[in-house]
Amino acid sequence: MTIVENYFFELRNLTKNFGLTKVLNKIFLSFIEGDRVLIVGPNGSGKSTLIKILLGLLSKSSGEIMLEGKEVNRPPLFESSFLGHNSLLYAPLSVLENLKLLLRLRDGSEELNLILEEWSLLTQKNKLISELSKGNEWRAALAVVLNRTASFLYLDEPTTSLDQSGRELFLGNFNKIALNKKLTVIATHDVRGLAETINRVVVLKHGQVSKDIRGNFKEAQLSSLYLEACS
Amino acid sequence: MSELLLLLKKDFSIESRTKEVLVLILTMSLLLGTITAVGINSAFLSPGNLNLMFPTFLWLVFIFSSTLSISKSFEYEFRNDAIYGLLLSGTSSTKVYLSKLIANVVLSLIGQLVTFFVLVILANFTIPSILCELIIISALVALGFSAVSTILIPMSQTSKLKSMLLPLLLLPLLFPILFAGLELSAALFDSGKIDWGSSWISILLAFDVIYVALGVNLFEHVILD
Amino acid sequence: MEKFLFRNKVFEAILFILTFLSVLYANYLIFLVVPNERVMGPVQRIFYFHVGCAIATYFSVAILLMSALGHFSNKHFLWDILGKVAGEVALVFCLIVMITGMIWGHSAWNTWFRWEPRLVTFLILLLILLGLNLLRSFGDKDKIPNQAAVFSILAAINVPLVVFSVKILPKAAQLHPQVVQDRGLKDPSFVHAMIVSMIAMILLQFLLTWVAGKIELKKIERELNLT
Repeated sequence: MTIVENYFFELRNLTKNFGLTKVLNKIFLSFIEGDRVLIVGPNGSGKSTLIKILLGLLSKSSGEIMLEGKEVNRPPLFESSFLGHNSLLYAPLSVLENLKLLLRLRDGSEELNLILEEWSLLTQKNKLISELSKGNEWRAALAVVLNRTASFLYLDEPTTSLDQSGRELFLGNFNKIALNKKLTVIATHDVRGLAETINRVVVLKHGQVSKDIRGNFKEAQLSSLYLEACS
Repeated sequence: MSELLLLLKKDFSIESRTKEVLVLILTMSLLLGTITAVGINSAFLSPGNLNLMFPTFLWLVFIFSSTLSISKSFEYEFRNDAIYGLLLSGTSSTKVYLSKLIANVVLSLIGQLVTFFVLVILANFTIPSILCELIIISALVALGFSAVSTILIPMSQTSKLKSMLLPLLLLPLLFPILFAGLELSAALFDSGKIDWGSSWISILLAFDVIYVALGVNLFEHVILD
Repeated sequence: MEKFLFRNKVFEAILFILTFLSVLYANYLIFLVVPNERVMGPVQRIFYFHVGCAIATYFSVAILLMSALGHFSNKHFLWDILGKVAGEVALVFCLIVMITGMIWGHSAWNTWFRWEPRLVTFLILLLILLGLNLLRSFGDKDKIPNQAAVFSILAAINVPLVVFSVKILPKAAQLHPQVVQDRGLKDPSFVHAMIVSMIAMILLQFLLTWVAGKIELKKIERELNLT
């Protein structure tokens, strides 16, 4: 019996080549609203490339991308918020200036102060990004990406540069915010604390989807899925 | 519109803080202008000949000093992939292009004027009072220069040659406005006013309009893969 | 389009035969039929290749523009191959125009270069095409298709601007014997040879583009099969 789901976002037969290397090979993925997806896989399996194609930063080599039933060349960037290997912040501008620019907030607004407070950036707010430590730069980056009003959230290794308190801050915010997004996709090697939010796990190996499981997960299940994927 | 102002504020904040492009343009103009002036003085050009050749020196020094300096204007867009953060915040690539264009026009115009004064002072060039008209011609040339360079800078930054590829791509495309700048400023120094009906004005305007239009439409393809 | 471009063997065969015959005929006319030109003598014959290659270069640039527009319409990799080979062929033909122009010029005016419309235009075009080919050589491999297509459009639009601005440069510098426009060609065989050589060079340009494209395509297909 086929269950007809309301897929609002689909990848059909999607392939991505970089020169002659096939990084993603005939991927079929369909998303329903409220999907909170964890992507796991060994290094070089194509996780980052897949996320960049989903969010519209990278174009596909072949295949179809369907958004709300219509085929698109690439999804519009303004629908997505994303954080990958770079902080996406302007180095010569201060934390405050970056937040104001990228979140379109006014000087002295309450929202701005709340964000700075939440991410322990009040004392750092006038420091330039280039003057911050990596950990603080990453807090600023996460403050931006998690406070965007875009409907899709994409995260690629978001906790690599964070210390323990930063991780806890991230998880607390992530769990709250992911529940309000149409689609959340996170690729990470650190699956601790994600169990309460994730409702779908996709395993990527050699550019292909090797497992795609929906459901509620316990922390142990996520860990074993991750270990199995990377072995 | 307010978004464009926001972007312009960002570009001018970065430039006023780092001053990298400005310092490069000023230093390059001074350096290349000095070298040119040395050449002029060694040649012992008579005032008549100097007047004839002045537009050439002016535009050559400007083109070289600006081409070598302007690629810095995208330095912080690609550091930390900040430009993608900007696009993700909801700004269209068109507005990003326009704000970069305006910033580059202002910087190029400053470069042109500095070149002019350096050469006037060092080469003892006597000029009639045509500064206003010269600024107009310079602005039109700066617009064409910036329209093309703003599209080409991201291309050269991602290549193996980095900013050294920019002159190889940019200079061959600038001949129409180089000719126009030369002919119009020569006529200006000669007669003291601009002939608005001249074909060179048409070429300059056509170049500017065409390349800004192309830039607005093609910028996205240069930034996104 | 993807079934046809660089793959259609019938078109290839016809193109090859037509090119072979027209080049043969053109050479026959140029070297055996047309009489010596009164003023310049036998050296004037290089003029036919010079003009033919100039027209062929313009056709190549048009193909370049077409491949760029095609690339933006559907991103098929064949457009990128077409752009790559058209850029190379255009560069070769442009070089031939410059060299033949300088040889002819040296015989006519005893200088290697004169600032007259066609040579200046092609000198600028040469620099543009050099830039394009350098971009393809040194650019980021993944970004080249997009970037080269953008540059091709910028370059193709530049050509008419250059042609027009060179035309209105001060007349004192211009010295190109306007063989066709001003004095006209006295002997009808001159005109006939000129038209045939133009057609021959245009067909040669198409053939070279096709063959080069085929080689590129085979290279890619072989490497895709190996990986």
